[in-house]
Amino acid sequence: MPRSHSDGGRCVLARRDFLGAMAVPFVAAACGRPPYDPALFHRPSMSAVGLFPADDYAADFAEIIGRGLRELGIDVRGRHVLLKPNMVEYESNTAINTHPLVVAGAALALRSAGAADVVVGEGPGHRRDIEYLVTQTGLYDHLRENRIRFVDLNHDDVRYVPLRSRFTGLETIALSSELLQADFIVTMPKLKTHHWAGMTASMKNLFGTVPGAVYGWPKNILHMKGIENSILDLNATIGPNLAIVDAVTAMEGDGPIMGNPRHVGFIAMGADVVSVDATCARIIGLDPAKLPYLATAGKFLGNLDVGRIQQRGEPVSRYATMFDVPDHLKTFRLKRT
Amino acid sequence: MTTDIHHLAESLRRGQNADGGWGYFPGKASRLEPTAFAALALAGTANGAAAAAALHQWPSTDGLLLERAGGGPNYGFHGVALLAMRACGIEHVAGTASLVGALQRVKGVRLERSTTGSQDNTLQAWSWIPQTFSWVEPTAWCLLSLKKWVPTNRGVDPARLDEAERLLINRSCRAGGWNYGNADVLGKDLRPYVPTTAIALLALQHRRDHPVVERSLDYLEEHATSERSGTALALALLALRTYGRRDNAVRSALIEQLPVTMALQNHAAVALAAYALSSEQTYAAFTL
Repeated sequence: MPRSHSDGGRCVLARRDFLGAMAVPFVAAACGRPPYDPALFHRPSMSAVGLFPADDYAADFAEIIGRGLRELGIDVRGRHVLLKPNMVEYESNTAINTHPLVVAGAALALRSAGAADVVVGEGPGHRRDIEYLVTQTGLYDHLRENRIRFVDLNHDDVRYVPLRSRFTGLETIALSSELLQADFIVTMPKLKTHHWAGMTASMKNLFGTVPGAVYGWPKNILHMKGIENSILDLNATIGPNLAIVDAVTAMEGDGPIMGNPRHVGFIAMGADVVSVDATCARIIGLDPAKLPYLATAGKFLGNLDVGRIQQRGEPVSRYATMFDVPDHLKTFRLKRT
Repeated sequence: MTTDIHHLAESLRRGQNADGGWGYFPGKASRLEPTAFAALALAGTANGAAAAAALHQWPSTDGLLLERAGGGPNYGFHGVALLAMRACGIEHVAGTASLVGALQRVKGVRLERSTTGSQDNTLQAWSWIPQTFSWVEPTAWCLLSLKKWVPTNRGVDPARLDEAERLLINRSCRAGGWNYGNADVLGKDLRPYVPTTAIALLALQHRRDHPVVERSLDYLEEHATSERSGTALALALLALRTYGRRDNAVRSALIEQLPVTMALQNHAAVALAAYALSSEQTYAAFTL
């Protein structure tokens, strides 16, 4: 399989052998000029990441996430919040999607913390049929019970906005109007291994913000331009305000769909999505510096280094483990001493 | 039953925009796909006439229909719109033959044979958007649409139809039916979905003796009610009826699903459900 790599953070090569759609690696069109203007991005000197225990899905997620908001000093008063869970496919007894109880708990916690309104939005990457997904996963019942509005990001009205970085070589991207109207975006992934990107968490989750009705399924243009490149451009442009990661039951092996459930037992939270994902990577035994998109993101979007991450809640060591990964991803593994 | 259909139609009527089209959801800008399905569902009514007028004047460039918000064409939605125009007798202001011709000129990209699956990536049918790979759903919609236009002498090329059929046959899952794209990846079989299987079967209704079609029809008949949504159940109902298979359970499941479909308010789903449930429909828009 073609492999991606970074060349000092200037340009990430694309992987094109995805679902048969891509066969030859190519260099992003942005190569030859810096793919981002450092002046546009502020990387904090320190980033706080919280790990909060949740043994199973019977936990009180509104309480857990509310605690996280307080411990991390997240202020959402008066904000128009869009929660972006990861809802890809439904298979019973698997761990593909962000659990609907975590989504509902987050909505309730954010409302309690003073958000002006909270909506849930998702645009699944290959399933067009959102009605099937929201009902089958149980999300529909929780949305209705808690009077939470749902936005189908695949089929919403769109506006074309300039990209704030140029890893894909694209100049603009169409995004959902509702997403653009929100002034506080929460990425809410399920923690999973990913057979192309290594790991999918807060950053990769933003693939689901791209409107399929404009770009097709499975968000073709992003895969053609390179998964890593697209992750970087989407995060640079959308700039999520908070990550809430469902790592109660995560997925290992051949993720993001065909892997196996793996109980880990926590919710990760943080305003710096790079730090949150780097922490999650370390917990599941992957070296964030070896994951191309995370390594590059650590140069301008957020903090990758342990020394720049303040741990809140539980220590990483409580959950540290080694996820099973496909053979071709074993080079991403963390060398634990 | 009549009440159910009345509620669906009323929901569609309420959601129609002043320009005659429909957004995917109430209050949203008119888009090609929901407008095309709504035109089918409301054909013969005043709202249907307004929808026909909207499709007649729908923006296009070089024969390809475009969304009003900008951006490039979506070939799958172009195919759906041509299907609706054929069924409703709508001619496009730019000349419908140019729309048929443009759809035949565009193709999904040709790639080397996959290193991660069994499929033949050299086959070219239709992608969702320009310069990307051919997928099952846009291919099936475009294939069905062009087959519907064959009798009108608008210059449909049999070679395009043949290659698209071969692509669909090649992409079928091992046990029958279709995933949205590949049949397998990284050596693992992917599972079929109800909506993509139903659309592909509609597009291959001339090939009902082919073993892949027979397997896929069996799959659909067995699993049609396993995916509960207005879209999946409506498409399954259309496909099973077209092939003369049992559809009572699917029909009942669709009626049972309607409150959720109506609550989520996706006009394309509501329109498909309304069309599929209408007792007056012979499903002429989808049958060859």
